[in-house]
Amino acid sequence: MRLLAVLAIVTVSFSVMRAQASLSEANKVWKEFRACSKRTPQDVFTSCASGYLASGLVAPEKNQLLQLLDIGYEFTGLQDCTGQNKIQPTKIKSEFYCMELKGKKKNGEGYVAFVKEMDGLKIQTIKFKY
Amino acid sequence: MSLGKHKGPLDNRSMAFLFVLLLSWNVSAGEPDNFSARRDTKAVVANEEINKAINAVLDMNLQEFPARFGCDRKKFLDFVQDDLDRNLPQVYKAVYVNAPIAGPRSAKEVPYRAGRPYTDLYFSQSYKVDINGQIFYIGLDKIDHFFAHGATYWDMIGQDPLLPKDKVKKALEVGVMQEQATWGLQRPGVKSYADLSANYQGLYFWRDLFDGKPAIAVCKNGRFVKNREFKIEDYFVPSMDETINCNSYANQEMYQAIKKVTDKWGQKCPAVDGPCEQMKSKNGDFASLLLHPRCLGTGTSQVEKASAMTTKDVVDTAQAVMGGGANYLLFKLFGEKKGQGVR
Repeated sequence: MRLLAVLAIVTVSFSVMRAQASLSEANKVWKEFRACSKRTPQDVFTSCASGYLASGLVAPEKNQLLQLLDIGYEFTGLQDCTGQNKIQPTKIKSEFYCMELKGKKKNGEGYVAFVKEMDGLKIQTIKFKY
Repeated sequence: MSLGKHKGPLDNRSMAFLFVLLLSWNVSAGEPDNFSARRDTKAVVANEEINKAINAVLDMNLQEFPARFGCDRKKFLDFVQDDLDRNLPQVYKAVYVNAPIAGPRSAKEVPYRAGRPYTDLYFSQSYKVDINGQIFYIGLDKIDHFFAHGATYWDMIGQDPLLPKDKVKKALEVGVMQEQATWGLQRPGVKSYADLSANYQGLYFWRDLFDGKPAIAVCKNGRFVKNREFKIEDYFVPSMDETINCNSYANQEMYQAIKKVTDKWGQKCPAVDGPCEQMKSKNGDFASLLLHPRCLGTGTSQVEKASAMTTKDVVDTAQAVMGGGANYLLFKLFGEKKGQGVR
């Protein structure tokens, strides 16, 4: 019984640690990706930000995601999604975290989904609602 | 409204189609060069591929919607919006990978010059469509405008299937604000009235999903099933073509660079007579919020000054519209005050 309890604690701790590590890695990627918006001219910005996007995306999809930054959408950092977050993926099974879309008065909600690739975590999609 | 024959859920061809879209990557995306597309004599009509892509995504959603939710409309809307809305419709990729392109395939092939609006970041491929005998050209960006911006309009009118005129007007005004700000004149440098038209047509798709006559999805034996095929023929209109519903540009230089080439080609805007009259009559009181003055016959200038609204201002305005009247008016006044140079 005691052994089972220890195993349970170890398992729970391990998954918590793993989740935290992923969230911090995801936040790092997310922060660096958003920081690319300060780079100019446009081709320097696109080459900076493209490096954080999943390789499986087709060019118009990549551009659509890059345009979000270029037109000035601002987002908060990532958090683990909870039941309180209204906008969450309904199908994607990869790693995802919730964030907010900044307005001046009120924020919108959204999430960012990631995929693991050989050279690290990459952004697969950014979805939000006003 | 012409309706297609009902097909089963996800057939083998649709599966193969989705498979192709999931495996594919890389080629070259928001301002389409519809003038060059119109000159492409080898362009073929893309209706079938576009319809197939959209129906495949709808079928997949109907099949995968968890049975435990039964016919919960809100849950299904959330489920399908994750694919068709929220700024990046899944169908975007499906259309891009499967539908035959008309005109330039990349920004580098656009004949006017390098730079705005046809940068690598903003260029969008075009497609030739035949809607009830009318041939016109739409950009891939219109797929996003139709589904994603259309969904925002649907939310802004409180998802009211009666499409109350006062609410629809406010949603259309937010669309115009977007085009005058960062989505249009500020960044790519184009105010696309064709985008506004696509957004508006998308509103009808979201209405028709459950409340169309007939609806696209209906509840049968405790599950949503497809009641009819989605057909672009029921929704796409000539005012989604930027050579019919003309653009305005952020400065004379951009406008002249394009005009110099189109003049040489003997092309004008609107490129053909007729559709504008048809669109004016179809859109009634909303025509001035959807059609360029050249299409309306009320003006000729294709240069407009960008507003000073920021993306955060537009987000706040859209949210205020969703929240109701008084706030919206405040934001509207705020936006207009800041953007004194508009038009």
